[in-house]
Amino acid sequence: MLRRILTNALMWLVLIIAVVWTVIPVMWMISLSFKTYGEWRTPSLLPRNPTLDNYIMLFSPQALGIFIAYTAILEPIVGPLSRTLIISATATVIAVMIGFFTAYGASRYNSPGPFTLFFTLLTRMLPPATFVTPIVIYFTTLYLIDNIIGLILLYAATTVTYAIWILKGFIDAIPVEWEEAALLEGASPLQVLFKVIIPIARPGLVVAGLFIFLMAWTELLFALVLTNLNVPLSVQVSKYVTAVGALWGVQAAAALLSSIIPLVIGYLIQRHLITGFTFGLVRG
Amino acid sequence: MPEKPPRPIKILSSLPLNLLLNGVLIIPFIIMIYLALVKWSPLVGVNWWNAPFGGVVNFQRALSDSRFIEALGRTALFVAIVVPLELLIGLLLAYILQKPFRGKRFVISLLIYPLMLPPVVVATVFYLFFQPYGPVNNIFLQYVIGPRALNIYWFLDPTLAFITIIVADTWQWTPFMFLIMYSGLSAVPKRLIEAAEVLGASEWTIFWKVRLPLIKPLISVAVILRSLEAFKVFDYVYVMTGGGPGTSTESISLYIYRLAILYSDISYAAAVSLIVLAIIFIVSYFAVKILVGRR
Amino acid sequence: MSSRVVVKLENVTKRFGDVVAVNNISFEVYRGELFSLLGPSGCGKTTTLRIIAGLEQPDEGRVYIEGVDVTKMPARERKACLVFQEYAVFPHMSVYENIAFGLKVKKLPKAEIDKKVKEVAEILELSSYLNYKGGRLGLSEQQRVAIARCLVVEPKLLLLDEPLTLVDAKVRERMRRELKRIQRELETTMIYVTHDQLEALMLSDRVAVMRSGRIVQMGTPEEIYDNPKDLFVATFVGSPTMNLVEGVLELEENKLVLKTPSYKYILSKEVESNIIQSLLGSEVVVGFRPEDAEVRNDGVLEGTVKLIEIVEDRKILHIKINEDEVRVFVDLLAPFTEGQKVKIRINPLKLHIFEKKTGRKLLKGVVSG
Repeated sequence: MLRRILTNALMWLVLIIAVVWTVIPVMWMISLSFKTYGEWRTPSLLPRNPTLDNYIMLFSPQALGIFIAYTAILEPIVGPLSRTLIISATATVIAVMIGFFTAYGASRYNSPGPFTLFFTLLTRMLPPATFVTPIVIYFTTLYLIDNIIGLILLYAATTVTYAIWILKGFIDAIPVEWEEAALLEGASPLQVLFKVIIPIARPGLVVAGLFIFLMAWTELLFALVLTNLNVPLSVQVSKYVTAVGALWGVQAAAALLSSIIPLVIGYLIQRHLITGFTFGLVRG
Repeated sequence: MPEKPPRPIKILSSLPLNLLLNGVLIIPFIIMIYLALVKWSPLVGVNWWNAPFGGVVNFQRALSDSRFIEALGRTALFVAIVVPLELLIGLLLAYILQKPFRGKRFVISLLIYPLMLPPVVVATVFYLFFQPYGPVNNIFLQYVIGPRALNIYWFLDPTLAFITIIVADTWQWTPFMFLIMYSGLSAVPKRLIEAAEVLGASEWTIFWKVRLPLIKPLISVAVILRSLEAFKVFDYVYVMTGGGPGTSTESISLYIYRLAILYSDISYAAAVSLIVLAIIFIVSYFAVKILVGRR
Repeated sequence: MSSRVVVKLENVTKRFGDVVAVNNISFEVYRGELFSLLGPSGCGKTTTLRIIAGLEQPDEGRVYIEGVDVTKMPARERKACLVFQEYAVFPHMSVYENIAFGLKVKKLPKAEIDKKVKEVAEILELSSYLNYKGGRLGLSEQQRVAIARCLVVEPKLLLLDEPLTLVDAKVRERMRRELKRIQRELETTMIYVTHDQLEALMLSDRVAVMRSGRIVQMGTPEEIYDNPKDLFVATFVGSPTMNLVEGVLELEENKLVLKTPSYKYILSKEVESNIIQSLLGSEVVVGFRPEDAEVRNDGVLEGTVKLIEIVEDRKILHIKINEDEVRVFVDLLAPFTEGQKVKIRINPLKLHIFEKKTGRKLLKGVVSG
């Protein structure tokens, strides 16, 4: 009896520690992003004089007239933000479209076959760093450096496998009989694809799309490698730490700003996060 | 459905994919092999497609490159530490959360949000966390060591810096293990647990003899996937420690990145990349065989 | 409490949300008996069983096992074992390991475990299956493994939740006899939950018929069958079901008559008026079982044969009387044809009279016998 109470209490304790441990870092970051310069080095959880200065610095570094030497390096955050938005959105559309058609063929006709599908997994399992070398050369030759097209293509290629596996799962779940019925009624295979499958698979398309958007938004390595001046958001945020250094509050603000969309997406597809990360092996 | 795909479908389902992958990834791969076999860097002066032949020179160099070997070993060590750590914590949390209680959904949402954050952000968070005047030192100050804590420079000591990377990765990725374990444990049929209960088994026995064996395949999947990801570690190292102090926290991804981008040592970087790929293939092959074997 | 009583439930109630699954139930189970909880789905029998096992906690009332109040005791500490309807054989363990599970929990020495497992496997004809993985067994093997698993730990109480529902009809017969044999041999106290009244009547020493969370009648199979206390029990038990007609009882020329607005059923010319007096004029439901009526020339109830059904070693005549259909057993070889007019005599000792409004049994037998 007593043993049960003790183990119960212990489990609650572990749970509480886990939640606190998970929540505290970001809470501190949020508070840090609203703190004034003098308060940055204090561990207090709430800012005493909350200010928007850090965020203002992100949008127009010169606005406040301080740290000009530092902030001359970086452009207003609107640039990287919009770049990342466009890159992620476009890459997502491409990856989902291609992934969808591939998934449909794989699910219904085994075309492409399992070997190809497994092969696509490789794009995700192999370290991106090992591909940096040739891609830099290749893209430079093709004038795809430092513009969004290069990153769009790259992200589409590296995330299409997610789309394939997620969508294949959704399509597999659609009874073949519905398509066969439509075919018997005289619809062409393409019509079946567009009029029957797509509407039903829409949730899958949304999940795959949001997941890929998330992947594209948060990628850093290739973003670093393929851009110089026209950097996307992830690179920008990293620069606040690596290039600028001591502006804690601003760094926190930058990090948080770039997290809003991922968090919203993550919340929306919570249930499917695990399905995505494990390529459909684990159904959340 | 007919066995063979109708023409338009066949084209739609293969062509775009092939175009994309071949154009963006396969061709560079072939280029990489070429680059590794020649001697080239941007400083040489000729176009890369006219580079002088080098044979296995680059590969030989890699074998005696201590920085490369250390980076490999370091990264392997990193994987060997974080994956079991995250697995154990994830499993523990998943077990604890088997009992229903009010607000459980909310708690789970809270626990998994680190997964959604951009790794850069997590890196920034812990970079700030481990600053001399950051919360970690300030808390240590209160409880453990006293005012000396303010003088701990996490990023200036090789071991401490390594620990910060481990902390960042664990913080972000334990929820991944947790989710998989939770999904697995939840799927264990309640009847089996009850059957064990009426036979007199304790919670402990039930965990080891019923739940765990039934989620073994999931654990294998989780470990393989997470290990592959952990091996790629770049974002945390790049932002938090820059590989430092010196090269004491340089992961293999960071080393290759530097070779290619900072030092522009292209051919060598290509060779190193190929070696790493080969290693990953071989290790994965054996790992899958061992862990998944009885499929 | 006498040591004859193994299980006692006292005013046990269990609610799930708004639904009262078990409503103030009390009963005792004696040592060595096979006690059945019989009833339709949703009547609370499985919940009651689970409460005895310790898998559910009652909201009110107490549970005693061998005199000890186990109401708050967790399942693992009770000396009762439950065989689930779905068997719940551990799929990742071999049959041997499944059976040995409970013994390993008790930390018995390996040699002893081996001996006991092999003994029980022998009894249940599982000896050749010992190395099979749990997940690869057929249904009947699974069922035996589930039972073996429980038997081997020698529980004070063996609880079975509809163990034969998943087994197909042919095998069910055999398994029933096996179970009964084992129970008799080992003198195990068993509580058996089922919705199959035939099964309950065949196997049990005593039966509790349940409906909507309450025990409607409890007794030996004979008692339940011969003397059902209300309409529900009367119709639930017995196959084919008891014949029922509704109406008002009256005496006419020394014959017992049941009057409906459209018809007059002559039930019996053998009647003792003093027995029947108090019921005359009231709205009742009269019932008699197919085997308690005969087709005879001196029968008083007239009807037409609508259907002849052949069942095993007898025939059932479906006879239409006015608007009702009544079933009567006749000999297999007796010559009847559809459309034939027949006369029926109902055994006056086996006429059951129920109050129409409540279904409560008012009287059995209209003569003293």
